[in-house]
Amino acid sequence: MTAKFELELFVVGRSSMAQRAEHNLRRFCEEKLNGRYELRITDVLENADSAEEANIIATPALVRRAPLPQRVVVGDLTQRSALAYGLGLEAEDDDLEGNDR
Amino acid sequence: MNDARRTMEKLSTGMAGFDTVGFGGLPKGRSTLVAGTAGSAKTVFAMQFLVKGIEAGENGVFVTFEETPVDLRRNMLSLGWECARMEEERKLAFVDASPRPEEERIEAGSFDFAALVARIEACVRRIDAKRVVLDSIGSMFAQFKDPAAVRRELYRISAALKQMNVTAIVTSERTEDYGAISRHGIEEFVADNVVLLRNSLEEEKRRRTIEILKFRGTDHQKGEFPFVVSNEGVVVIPLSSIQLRQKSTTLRITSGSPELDSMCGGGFFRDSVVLVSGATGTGKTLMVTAFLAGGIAKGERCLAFCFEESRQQFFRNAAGWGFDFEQLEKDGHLKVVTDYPEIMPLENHLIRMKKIIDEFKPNRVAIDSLSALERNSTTRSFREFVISLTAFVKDREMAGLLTSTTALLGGLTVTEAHISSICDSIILLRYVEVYGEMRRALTVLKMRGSPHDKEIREFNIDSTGMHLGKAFRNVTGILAGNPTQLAMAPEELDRLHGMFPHD
Repeated sequence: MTAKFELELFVVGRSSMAQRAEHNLRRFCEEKLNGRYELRITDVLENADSAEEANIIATPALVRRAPLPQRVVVGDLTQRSALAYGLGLEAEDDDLEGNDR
Repeated sequence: MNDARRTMEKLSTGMAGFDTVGFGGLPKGRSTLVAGTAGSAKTVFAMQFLVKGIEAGENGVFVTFEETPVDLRRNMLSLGWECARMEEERKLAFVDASPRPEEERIEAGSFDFAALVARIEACVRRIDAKRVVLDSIGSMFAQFKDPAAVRRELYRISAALKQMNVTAIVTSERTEDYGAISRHGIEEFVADNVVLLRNSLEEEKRRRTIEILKFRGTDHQKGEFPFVVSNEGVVVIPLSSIQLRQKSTTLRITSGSPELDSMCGGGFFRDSVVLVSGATGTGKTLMVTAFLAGGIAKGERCLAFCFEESRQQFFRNAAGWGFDFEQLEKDGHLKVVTDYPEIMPLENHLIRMKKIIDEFKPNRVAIDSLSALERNSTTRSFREFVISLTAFVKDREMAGLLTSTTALLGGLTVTEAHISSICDSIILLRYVEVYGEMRRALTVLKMRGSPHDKEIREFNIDSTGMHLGKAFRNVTGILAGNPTQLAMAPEELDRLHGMFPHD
């Protein structure tokens, strides 16, 4: 797989949940995407318009801009298998809980 | 506490009838849950709340969880509400939280709705909104898996709305008109104020009602009130608020028949409502015609609603009795409105009739007949209709004449049982069989505030209209529809008659 991932993580302020999501995401990407990704962090408090545009209701919210189709993963990204599924990657063997989709 | 109750400020919604039921409107600065089944007009109600606010200089934010703003703009156009224009003028703003079917959403851990709150706040600040609508929050339970989390987050929104100092309407769907307040138990999250919209099926007819279940810390009218969704949006009919504040007058007006006037002790009262009851062919339409012609002859403006005959028929009948109603209408003295009762629900008829009355500003209004309207409604709707209309007629200081069709030989109809107490005067028209011949009889059954002739008089119709003859003296049981000849000497009848003198 060579496609590049364009990711945008929406958070509100610098809450512990926001920091946790960012930490989990960065670790996941380093492990699984081998640098084939771009990550932008958007604080809704500073940029409500872009949240409006992306129809963000719940945060933290990770939007996969590319590859298409666009997908959204909601939550602090502690459920790695759900995150992997959301990004369109194979589910991990070491984490099967919380993935019922 | 009691002082706080009294001083709780209300926000006038500007919605016809609702402010009356809510004793001034919605509790200001609070959120109100508006719950109803599918098709109960929640969205129209919510949008109208914003539109009326904008008309009064208070901007509004519409947070939509179900329909897209594109759909809403289009749907609201049919009510004449131009959302796009209001958005351009920065008076209205949408926060789009509607689901995007093309976009898959996966949950991976805990989350909150802080982003949504931030978006609402940003919007409220941007256009300085005073009113906010969330429509409808039940949809969030479909969008997110964990109902407990959604409930907790909705509570967060509620708290945030309070902080923003806006008056909010939050809609939610119900599964049935009489049952749990809302499907997901979210009433707790805006438990302060609850309004229910119903669209229930009664006697095979749809009946819309609104009920304020509670306003915390402040008062409101109790019970269900009918409402309609007209081309102006929701119009609530606040029945119990109709006060008997009409000034009574002793001014008399003619019924159109000098003989009937004298039976009534000098004519009808100017601001009274008269019910004429009789079987088909007894002369009800003639009474209406005479009532209108009598008014016009005195220079009054007259309005007639005919639900049984076409205009042509009505004009032809009048011409048969020597009245050129067509010309009188052209000259602006008369207005005749004919309609099939079935074209719309009774509540809509009421709104429309009030509107026509206010436009034409007549001195007299006749309705021929109530029975035709009754066909198209439930008993309760019908009673509310008559109460509301008669109160309206009196409030405008007009004279009203209503007709009601009974069975061929008389007796009391459902119509009359329900409305006789509401009407000031009742005139009965009956068929009487006298020695193998059908004759017509008329009697004034009730004349509020005045003595009247209590005899049952013969009633004739010829090419010049109606004529009252002598009293039926040797027939009893006319009103019950069971006339019986009395074989009694005339002197004996005179003696009996003298025992119960007229008042």
